[in-house]
Amino acid sequence: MAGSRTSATEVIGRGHPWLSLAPALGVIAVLFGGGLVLGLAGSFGMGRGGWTFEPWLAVLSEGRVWRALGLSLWIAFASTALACGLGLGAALLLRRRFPGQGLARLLFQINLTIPHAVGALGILWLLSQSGFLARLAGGAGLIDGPAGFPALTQDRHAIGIIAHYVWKEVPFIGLILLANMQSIGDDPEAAARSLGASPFAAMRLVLLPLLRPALIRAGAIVFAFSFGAWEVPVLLGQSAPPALPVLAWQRFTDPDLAARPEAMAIAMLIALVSALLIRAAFAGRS
Amino acid sequence: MTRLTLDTLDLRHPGTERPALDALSLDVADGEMVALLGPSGCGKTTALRVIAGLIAPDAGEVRFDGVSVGHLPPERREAVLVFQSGQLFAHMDVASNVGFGLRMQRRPKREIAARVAEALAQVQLADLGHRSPHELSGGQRQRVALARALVLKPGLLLLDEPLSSLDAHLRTEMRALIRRLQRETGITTLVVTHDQEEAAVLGDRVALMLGGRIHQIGAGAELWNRPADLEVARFFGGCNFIPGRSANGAFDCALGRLALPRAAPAGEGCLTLRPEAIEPGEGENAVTLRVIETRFEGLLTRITAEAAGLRLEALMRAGAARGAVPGQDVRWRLPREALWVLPGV
Repeated sequence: MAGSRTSATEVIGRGHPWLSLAPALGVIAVLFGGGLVLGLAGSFGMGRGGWTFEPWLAVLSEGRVWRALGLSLWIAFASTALACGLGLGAALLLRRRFPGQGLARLLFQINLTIPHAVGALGILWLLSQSGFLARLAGGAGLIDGPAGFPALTQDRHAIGIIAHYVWKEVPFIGLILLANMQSIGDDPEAAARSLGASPFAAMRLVLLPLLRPALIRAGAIVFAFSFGAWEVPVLLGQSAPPALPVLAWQRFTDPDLAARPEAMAIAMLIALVSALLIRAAFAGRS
Repeated sequence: MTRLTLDTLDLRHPGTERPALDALSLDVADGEMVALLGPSGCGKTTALRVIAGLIAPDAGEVRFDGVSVGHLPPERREAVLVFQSGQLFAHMDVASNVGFGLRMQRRPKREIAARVAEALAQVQLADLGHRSPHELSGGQRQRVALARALVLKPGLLLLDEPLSSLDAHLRTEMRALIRRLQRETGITTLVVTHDQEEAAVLGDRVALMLGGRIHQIGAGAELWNRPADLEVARFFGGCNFIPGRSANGAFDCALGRLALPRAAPAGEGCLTLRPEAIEPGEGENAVTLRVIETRFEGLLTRITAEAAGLRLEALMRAGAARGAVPGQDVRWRLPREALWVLPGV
């Protein structure tokens, strides 16, 4: 029958796929690509009288930038690793059927709806040296004053920032993995058990490898966000060195407009490092 | 090799009205291959999972060689379950899939490699060890799943619809392969299927499961021709049920007195015979009926005819069916050996 020769692509959208994608790609190219191109051009001094490598040279030769990059990498790696580990553990616990499972899942996911800035203020209120935990410790006579409580916010190791990202991203990772486990089902593990694998071996050798692609994808999103976002490090981070996005933001809002190209260069550096690391993570997968 | 006993297993899935297993009892002898046959939803896959230890029954016992295995987790049971979909591990190549169970037993690498090669040769896939599962055809995948179970030399092999995902040609081939491997290895095997023909070909005995329990177990032909009850007869396509009374080797009913085969149950009941057993012409047990309808069904023609308010359906080849014209009378012979009585129906 001639009618049955119509292929799926023809049914979904006649013509070349690129043509069908053009409207969506156009919007993305203008909004996202345009911003990137303008930022890149700005970092080479465009709009300020000619092309120059000076902003890049200034940024790359500045010790503060490298320290900020190191801090941001630490924040992003630690947050991603902890969020992936805890999110995986939570998903493994929550996939079992138990009474009140629906409520447990709801509570687990509820902080997905809370904005980052609000969450960061909550962390500040909870963990700072004048925060809730410090007051509890003081009330219990464990510490003499605010200074006796360990510095968990505005601290050298960015513990407050990492705590916030972990708190915020564990449900995200968990949600993605739970959906993934649902589509995988119990059968692969059951097959492994029947072939002689212990519950732990079945999880480690069969379930985890099946979850790996989803975990890497979700982890890449967490990494990109915690590496590039500035509002949480602004609220919870120390000032010297600041996280790299905070440095870019400071340069960008500097009254001295001459700092703008440097801000652009730092922003481009963030995008570049982030893209390279995520690319490496995906390449390592296959 | 292992003798399998299921002793009055009960299981109800939470939130369902009908039990999945209802006092299910079954004995599979050492080295025997039994086909567990039933329509979808009759609980046969659930039974397989209970035997494998993947689901715990609400009541009753599973015994291997007479010893209860209820307390043993799946990995410590002498049974290996081959899933309907094969469930090959997509992230491992074929050889690692087949060697998975041996790896769990912490066998030396060299032994694993040798036994994997042997198992792949058994299922005629000797050269495909390095392939990844998604590079295999459906039939090859199913054979790898089979090799992955056989390499462990289990006491009991559980096959869940092993042929249902294959096309007709591969099915015949795979059926022969399963049959041959079972004969060669002598592994006690329980194979679940919804396909009557498959059950008859594969099973030394066929166990018909309906509504969570075994209705009848025996050689294939026995279930077809000597059904234990109305539901068994209906499942195998029985459509002729004539009420009456059986006594002294004869059945009295509206069609008259019909001679019965030896050992037919006596008493009030229902006479049944398969539609394809009816023959046109004179002889013993010949009756006159008025043809109501004929329907062409490919190789065979289904003829509905009536006498004394009773309807009979016959399936005949084109030549034999030619004499049947709606509205006219026909003489049909109901062969004595094809008759059977369902007592108390």
